[in-house]
Amino acid sequence: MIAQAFVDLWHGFGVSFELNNLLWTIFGVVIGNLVGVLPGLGAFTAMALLLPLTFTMKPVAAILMLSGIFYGSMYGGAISAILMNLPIHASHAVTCLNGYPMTKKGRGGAALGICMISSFVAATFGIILMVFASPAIAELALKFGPAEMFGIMLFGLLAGGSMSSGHPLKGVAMTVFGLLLGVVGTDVNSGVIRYSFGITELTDGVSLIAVALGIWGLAEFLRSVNKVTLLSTGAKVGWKDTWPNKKELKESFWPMIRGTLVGSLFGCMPGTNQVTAAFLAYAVEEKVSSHPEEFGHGAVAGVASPEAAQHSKTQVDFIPTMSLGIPGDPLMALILGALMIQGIAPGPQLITEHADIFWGLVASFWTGNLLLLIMNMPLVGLWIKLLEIPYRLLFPSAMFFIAIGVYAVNNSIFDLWETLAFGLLGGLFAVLEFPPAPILLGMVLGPLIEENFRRAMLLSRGDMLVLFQRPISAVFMVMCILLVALQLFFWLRKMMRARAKARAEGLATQQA
Amino acid sequence: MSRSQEWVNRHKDLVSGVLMILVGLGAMFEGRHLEVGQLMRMGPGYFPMAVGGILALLGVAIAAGDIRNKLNISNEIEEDDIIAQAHAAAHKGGDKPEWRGWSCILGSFVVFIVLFKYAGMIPATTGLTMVAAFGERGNTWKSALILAIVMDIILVVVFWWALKMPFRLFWWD
Repeated sequence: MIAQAFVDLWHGFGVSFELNNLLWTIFGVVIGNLVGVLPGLGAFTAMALLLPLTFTMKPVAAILMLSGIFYGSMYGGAISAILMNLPIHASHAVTCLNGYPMTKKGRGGAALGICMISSFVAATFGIILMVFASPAIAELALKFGPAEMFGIMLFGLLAGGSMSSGHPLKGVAMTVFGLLLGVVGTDVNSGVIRYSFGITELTDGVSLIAVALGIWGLAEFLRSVNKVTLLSTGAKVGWKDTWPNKKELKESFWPMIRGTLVGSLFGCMPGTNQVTAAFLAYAVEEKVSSHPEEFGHGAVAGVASPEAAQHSKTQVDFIPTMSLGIPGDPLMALILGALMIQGIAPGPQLITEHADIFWGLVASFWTGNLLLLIMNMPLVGLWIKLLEIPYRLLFPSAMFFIAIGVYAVNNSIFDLWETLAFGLLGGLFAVLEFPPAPILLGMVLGPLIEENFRRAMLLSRGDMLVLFQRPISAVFMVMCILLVALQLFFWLRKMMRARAKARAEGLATQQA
Repeated sequence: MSRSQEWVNRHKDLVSGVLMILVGLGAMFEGRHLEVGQLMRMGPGYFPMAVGGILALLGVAIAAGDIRNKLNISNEIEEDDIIAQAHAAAHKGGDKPEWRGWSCILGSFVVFIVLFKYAGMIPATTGLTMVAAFGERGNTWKSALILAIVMDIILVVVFWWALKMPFRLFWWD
């Protein structure tokens, strides 16, 4: 099997080096890096914006480009975190803790260099894991019946909803709301049209792009307008400055490896995000370090480890997405959405039926990451310049690209109204502190989960217990229950602590 | 800040819960004509009914949580703080309402749709870009106009000429 993986991977490199695919990969990682650096635009917005462009492309090129934006943005985000102490993207917040002190000591360039190297090492490890784990998981999953698929999807949904940041119930509510959005349109089993409200355009279902660009485009701008600080940095970093010295390299080697392992472990858990992975890696590093007092004052280890963790997590994220068709976060859901628009059904059969997509993607990860490593070190100066592009010019331009992008999908004006509606809804959700990410998970998984549930119940003659009788689905159902129990436990503990604290404070005021 | 805004801020969870109850019940009401069927042979209405019901129940739980919150329970998690800090680092002015920006963003989209329908893509693009630009206080007539012209050029060169998208540039096309 290992030999087979190498043969397939070789084939994948062939696919990823085809001129067309290579150019789109380069395009993707450059755009990704760009939005990573710029405040006010995230990787998700950029992916959603460029999604309409992919309709004219071949599936392989489309997926390579979209993924390139995703991991490219991770490299870009580190730059503002280290040089300006600004975590524009939350997962780089930990990097600031030691990256910025290094900048103050004049080693900012080296911190960036370490960051790029550990990102590359971690991505490479994640890719290797993907090469061997994905086909194995997919092969196993091909034997799954509807009950097993339902169990896995339910777990993915619950984890994605309850473990996203903020109020767990609100996260689950958004997942369920996404499921409802997925119901709109023609029911595949009976041909009945559901929830179209008499609108012809809705018989095809709610447009994924309208939801994505409404909630991550318009609603994001509603949140940020007049509130984005203009960034400008005095730091001058050239190519030569990004070379770390021998001591820094030596000090960051083991943290890099440990961070990579932490990130990979987290990658296997649906619903956890890059922020968690980075935090945990930092905490581990602080524990095992022989100089914990240096942490927070420019320890190289504190830069290398969290950066490595988020990069391996990013790569490992692709494993459930590609081998099971179950996305772990909204970015993955969008990539699956792009595949579906291309007429490719995600699921365990994807790796064998569309070998060029899967192996081409894996190989392009490596070429893309290598490219980012080579490109970023000399271009750091240019990226810093880009930080000075004012948001007041950036967002009206992005609005134009949203409008034309949405229209391009179906040449339909209705889609534009739909986007506007979801923009308003997204704004409302943001005010009420609902996490938006699970909506897309629910929407993409909704039709699949319904289909599998219906089939499972048909096969078991309406016996719900079948979900607990088949071993694999039973494992996932138990995991679902554990997840809910754990959330309840954390919630109760938090309440008890808060109450104890309130009581202690009350006593203190009484005594005073 | 007006009194109603303050009330909403203090009772975010209550409002959220009620909203979810309404959406859930609304879905159940709208699906009342769909055949539900039995567990063994589910009709098209089974899944949406169940999901709508779950959403309404979640809404009740969220709203109930708001009432609990009045017992002075702070729900702060370390990780959330960091995310909030990251957000605050890139955003100034906190959660102040931004009526000008909001109306310009939503308005620009409406302007685009209407102008596109009746006047063609170039007026629509110009309108959208300029209205959106006025949402940011730093923009002037001049900067908004220049930005709009740049977007028009991109529109014509990339989308109309290179990608050959089917739309009319002006109303006489």
